[in-house]
Amino acid sequence: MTDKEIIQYLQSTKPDKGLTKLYQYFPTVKRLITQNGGNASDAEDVFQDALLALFTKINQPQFEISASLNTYVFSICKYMWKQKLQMRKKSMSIIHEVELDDSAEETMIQLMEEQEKTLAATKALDSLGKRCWEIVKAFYYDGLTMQSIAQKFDFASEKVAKNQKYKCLEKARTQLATIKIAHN
Amino acid sequence: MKSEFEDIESIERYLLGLMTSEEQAEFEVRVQNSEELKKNVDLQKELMNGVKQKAYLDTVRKVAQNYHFRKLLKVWGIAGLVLVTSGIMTFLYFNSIEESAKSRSAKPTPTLTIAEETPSFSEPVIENKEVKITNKKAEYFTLQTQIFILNNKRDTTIETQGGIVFVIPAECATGVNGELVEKVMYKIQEATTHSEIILAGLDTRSDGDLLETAGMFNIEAFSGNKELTLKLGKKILVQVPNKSEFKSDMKLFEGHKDKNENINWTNPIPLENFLLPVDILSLDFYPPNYISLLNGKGNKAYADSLYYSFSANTKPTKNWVDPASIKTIWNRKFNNTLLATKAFEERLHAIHKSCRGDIIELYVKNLDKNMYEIDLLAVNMLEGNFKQEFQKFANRKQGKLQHNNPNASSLAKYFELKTKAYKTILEKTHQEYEQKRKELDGEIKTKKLNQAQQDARRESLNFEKELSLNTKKVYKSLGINESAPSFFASNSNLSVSSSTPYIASIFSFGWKNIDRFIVESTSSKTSQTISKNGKSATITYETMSLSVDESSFDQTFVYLLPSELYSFMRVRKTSNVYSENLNAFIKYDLLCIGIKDKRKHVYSIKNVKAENIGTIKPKQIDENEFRKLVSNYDRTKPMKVGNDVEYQLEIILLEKKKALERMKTQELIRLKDHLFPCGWQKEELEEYIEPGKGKLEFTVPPAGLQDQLKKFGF
Repeated sequence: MTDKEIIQYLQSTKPDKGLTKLYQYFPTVKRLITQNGGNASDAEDVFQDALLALFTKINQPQFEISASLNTYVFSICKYMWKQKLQMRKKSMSIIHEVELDDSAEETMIQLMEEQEKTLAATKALDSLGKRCWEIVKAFYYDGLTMQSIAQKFDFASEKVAKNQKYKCLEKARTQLATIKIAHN
Repeated sequence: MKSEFEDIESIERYLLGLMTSEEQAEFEVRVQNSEELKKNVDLQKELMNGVKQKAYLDTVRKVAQNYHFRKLLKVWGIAGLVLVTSGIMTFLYFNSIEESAKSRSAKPTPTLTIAEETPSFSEPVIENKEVKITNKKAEYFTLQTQIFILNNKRDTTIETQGGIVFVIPAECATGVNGELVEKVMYKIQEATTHSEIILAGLDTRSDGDLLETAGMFNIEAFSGNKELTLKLGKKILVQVPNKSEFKSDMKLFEGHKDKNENINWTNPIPLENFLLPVDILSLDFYPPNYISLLNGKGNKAYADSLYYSFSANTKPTKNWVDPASIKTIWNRKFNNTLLATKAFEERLHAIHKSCRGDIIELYVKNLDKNMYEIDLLAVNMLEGNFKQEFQKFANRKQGKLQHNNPNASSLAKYFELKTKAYKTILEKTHQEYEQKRKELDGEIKTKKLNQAQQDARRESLNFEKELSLNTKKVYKSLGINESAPSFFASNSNLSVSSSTPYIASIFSFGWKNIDRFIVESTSSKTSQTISKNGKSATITYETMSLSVDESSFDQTFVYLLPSELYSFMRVRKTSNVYSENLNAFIKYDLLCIGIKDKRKHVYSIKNVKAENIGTIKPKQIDENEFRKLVSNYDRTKPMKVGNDVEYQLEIILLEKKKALERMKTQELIRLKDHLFPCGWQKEELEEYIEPGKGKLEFTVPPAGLQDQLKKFGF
């Protein structure tokens, strides 16, 4: 699978195919992190975060990537791991030096900041029940109309579906507010 | 509670840009005045962004899980699931545990049971057993060393790459001074084919006589770097696959190295003729090659459900092995019976080929007998090649298990009942599946019909409005009282009767002619100049055309959004060119939408000109952005372009689903031909495999338009 094909998969309804392919870089990343003060679960966290960042980026309307995906994933991981180590007040000497150019690094920082911002929201949504989440996702992510949502989830009417969606949204909103209070 | 939802709803509409400008202004004032509302707007905005992020994250998590799952499968697949034929061993080369090995036969044997936790294909959680393959060259041989790390407190059965099965009892390896260890690393080398034996430089001499070999292996045990020995009184049962003709006088030899590093094989002992039970779930009860036919798709659960589903959706023409009966016996209930052996696996593969499901029953009903006795019963029931094959099985004189399952006798009854029960369940599932498939077909039909009705209504509304507009303009140019054609503005039921009988009675003949020109011009969308009393009026239609770079989309649509009409128009495509004649009285915006999977791509032109626009390529657009965009157009229209796009999307997805369904069916036919070689009825499936249309074609139904034209005498 070429980089182009992977990107196409990530933009399609079958992103898992592309992501699965990207997972071939995991052993390299794992080695990098375990040789630099981390363990296997650190590697897993960092790698997943990196995939998430890449996934998000590829699905932004003006998406451009200059380096190969391999380099990209690896750089994101390295960057993220550096950040984490800094937070743990350790430093690392990177064995494999792969540098991104400045603009790429900038977008990456931006991406990570965005990711950080939505982190609380993601957690709040995680607390929803499965059905609730599916409904919210159907509307905001899949872009279904309330009419098709009512059909898909067997609601008596569009109105009932709408109310259910708002109920779920309200639950997530309350949860998010709680998370935020806890953080401050 | 109600007011709470109102709040959520208006925030949502605000964030999605669905409010009118007045509403929006009013809302923004409210936000400024209420901290609470402001806070909620922020929270809701964050959640909206979070939805996408979580959807992405869920996918990543799922892929991560699959990745690790597959990795496990791979490791376990190499070491544990190699499918081999059962057989007998001849040469044993015990190195470090040679001394204790000698005393084996003199002592009572421990009871061997297969640990219930033995890892299986479907639940590859390998805790007590890490399986690693190393490429490290062994000390003596150039053979690969296979390493198994086992919990010494548990009985474990392992199988090597070459198919040798070792039944290792708990606490069988000890330190040199008899101390117990918890984890034992077994290093195993094997040479089961002639080429392996020769390449490894192994010799098959016994005190100068040449021996015929069926395979050799070397097993050593370690705890860290310390070599362990086999505890006195414990024995490891070994089963070596037989790759050629069975020979009844094979014996087990021990290997010793002489001064010149040559191996001499001595101390032969006769072979045991009882069968070694393994975990039944580690065997392969599918028809031969079934897994390889799946081309690596799915996992064991998928393979199972697919194979068992054939029980209900296949009508055999002659004999067959009903997958429901396989489902029944491939169950840990049958552990520690004849069925949970490599020997039975081999017979089952032959049974699959012969299509004789009744032979399975034969084995199930005689679980207390020796294997070869049942083989002989099967010989009597079979003919031709299969008779010979089972005669060969019988010649091996394989006996029974050392410790038979005490419930063996009741299992025959279990088999009968359970197979029936499974059959019922599988049939029910099959019916539900068929029902769903029909529903899918129905859904597509209904959706398309609805679509056609909507199209007709929209077309006719647009036509009416355009006709009314053209008429007004023409009448004005010709200096005719504007109120005359005002009936066109009346709602959907277009009428040709004049609103004022008085005027109609005077002018009806002449005006009707003019109206007729206008109707003609409007319906055919061609320019027309109409003269009356020295004045003239022109209706101008000019062609706009464009093509779309369709290579990267599943489907593309082009909409015109006329400022004056009730609704949007879907532009027709002929041989890859979208074209429409534009009315010079009307301003049109153009919206091109490309759909790839579920994602929308958009290209829009404000106030499009009647000219050849060339090729355009829509760009990907965020869902919320898209909503904002179309809501701008739809705000004042009764029929909304946004809804139409959603509708098209739904139809595309349903069609894709159906195409997938067809592909699956073709796949099933291929599989079934292989799995049921004695024939099955195909008619049932054939209706699903007629080649479907790849893409949806939209033909705008002329029904609505025709009705209109009839009223005007066309």
